[in-house]
Amino acid sequence: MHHLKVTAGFFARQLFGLAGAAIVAMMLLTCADVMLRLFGHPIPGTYELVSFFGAVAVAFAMAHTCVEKGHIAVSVLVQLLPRRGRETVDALTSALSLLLFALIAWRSVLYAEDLRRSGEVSLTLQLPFYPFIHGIGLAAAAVCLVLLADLVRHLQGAFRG
Amino acid sequence: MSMTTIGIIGILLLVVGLFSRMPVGFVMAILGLAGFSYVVNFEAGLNLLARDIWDTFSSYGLTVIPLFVFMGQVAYQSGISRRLYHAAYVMLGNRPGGLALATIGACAGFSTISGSTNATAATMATVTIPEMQRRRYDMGLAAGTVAAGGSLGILIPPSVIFIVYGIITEQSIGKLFAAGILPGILLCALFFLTILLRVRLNPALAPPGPKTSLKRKMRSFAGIIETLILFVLVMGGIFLGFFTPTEAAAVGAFLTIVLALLRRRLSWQGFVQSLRDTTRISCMVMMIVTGAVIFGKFMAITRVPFELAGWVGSLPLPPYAIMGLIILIYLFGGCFMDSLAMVMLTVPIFYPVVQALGFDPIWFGVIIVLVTEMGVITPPVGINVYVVHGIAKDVPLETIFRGVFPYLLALLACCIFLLLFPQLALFLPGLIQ
Repeated sequence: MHHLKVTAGFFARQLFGLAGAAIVAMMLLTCADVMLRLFGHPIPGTYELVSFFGAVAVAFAMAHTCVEKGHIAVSVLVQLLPRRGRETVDALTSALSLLLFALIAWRSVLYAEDLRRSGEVSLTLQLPFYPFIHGIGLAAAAVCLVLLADLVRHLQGAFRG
Repeated sequence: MSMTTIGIIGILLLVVGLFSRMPVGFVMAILGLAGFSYVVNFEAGLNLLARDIWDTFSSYGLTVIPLFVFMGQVAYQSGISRRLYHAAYVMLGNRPGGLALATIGACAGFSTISGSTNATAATMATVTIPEMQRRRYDMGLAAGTVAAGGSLGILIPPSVIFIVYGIITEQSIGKLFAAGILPGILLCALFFLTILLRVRLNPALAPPGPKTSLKRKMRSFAGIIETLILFVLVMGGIFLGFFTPTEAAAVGAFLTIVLALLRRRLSWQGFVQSLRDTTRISCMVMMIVTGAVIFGKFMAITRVPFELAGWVGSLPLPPYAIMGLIILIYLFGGCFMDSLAMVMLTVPIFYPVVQALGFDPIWFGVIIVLVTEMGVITPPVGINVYVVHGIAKDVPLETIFRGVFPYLLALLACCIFLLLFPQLALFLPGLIQ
């Protein structure tokens, strides 16, 4: 159990670092494009690259945001329950979330492979889409690890009594 | 089962799910997936899931959100919020209720670089609450003021809600930003008035501070210059059509870093912390947007939104009464739902109605922001109140909700002003080509 939590946290942190780097890259690339445009030499494909970086930033931040409980959730009602009830509700919702992210991971991989086979690329730079969608699949798998650790913890809490 | 019944069951489950302590974005995504799969089939639902996530995550229009959040976080780490408060404090602090007035002033100032209500509330609460506590302010007034003042973050540009509204309705984000400025100033004035009235009725709420010399006042003015420069460059650039909102946000974040480095106000740790917070906040916002997109697809195939819109639009009432009704619906819904999720889910419903009734889309954007501002401070799900409570832990939630109530009236008054004088919102955007 402890190992699972540590492993999930480790992966989540690594991806989170990449997400932060993607935001810095978005900022620098856009600024460079604006500056160079003044001299009549905009950077071609900025639009596409910024979109891709944006996707990486959000996807890779998902797992760590889960670890830090950074997603908006309403706990006014659940807080009123006794400890065991809280743990049961939390176990149930963690299980549902785990199912959601498992489906996201699985379907993103399928979707990426679909686009790879059909050879779809971006307009200006001709960059393939599929590696980025595989990235989302990977990020969703990392969220699954985090949620699995949560689920085990809540189940233990619910059954310990 | 008819489509309408399925849609309504979906909405009811959403309300239940929202209170389950599951992240709001996850609830919407799961129900959207389940509902869409039930109506069409599981395979189609799964395809929709993967596609919607990729499309939303990689939307160029939405990349403006992390960049503006970054600008605000760097500004916070480099102490801009503290300098703004200091300036407002020196100018207003010596009168009764002065620190509360200064809190609103500083919130308004910080709103010019921050696009989110909870970030503004969190940032300003850490700076202003200890000061008001030291001066023996009534904590309900103090905490309520920051929670309400933080809501200015989305009316004064930049603003996450204007960005999302602009993307949903395909309106110019530049015009929407411009439309928020005058109502933002009006709302500040109304907040000021609220404080002055409360202190007049009960002077013990907010004892006056010591007087400050004119020289000190002048010197403290320097504290707002950097904010002013950033606002003029970033918003001016958008208004003049020199760059897109995303470009403006990137340049704004970059300039904030450069200014902070020049003044030696940003350490490496501060930079890393601002980047961490930016990444986390952006992810949180995008999860809600994505969840709402998926749930919205399910709603669309049940046709419930269209029927609801048709019903509201065909009510035998004058347009202003219908608008009043829409505002009431938002006020009520805002009590129970996360504001951003509500905007994402309901704007597609009401926007066509509002257009058919002849209201201006930009004006309606400002109304949406105002009702959202109410939503973030009304119980039981007023996020700003929780944010402030998280920082001022010794102030009970009920006290903050009570303290915030008079500002709710100010927000309603601002809505009424906008209904009576739409030009308040439309004058500045009219100047933009």
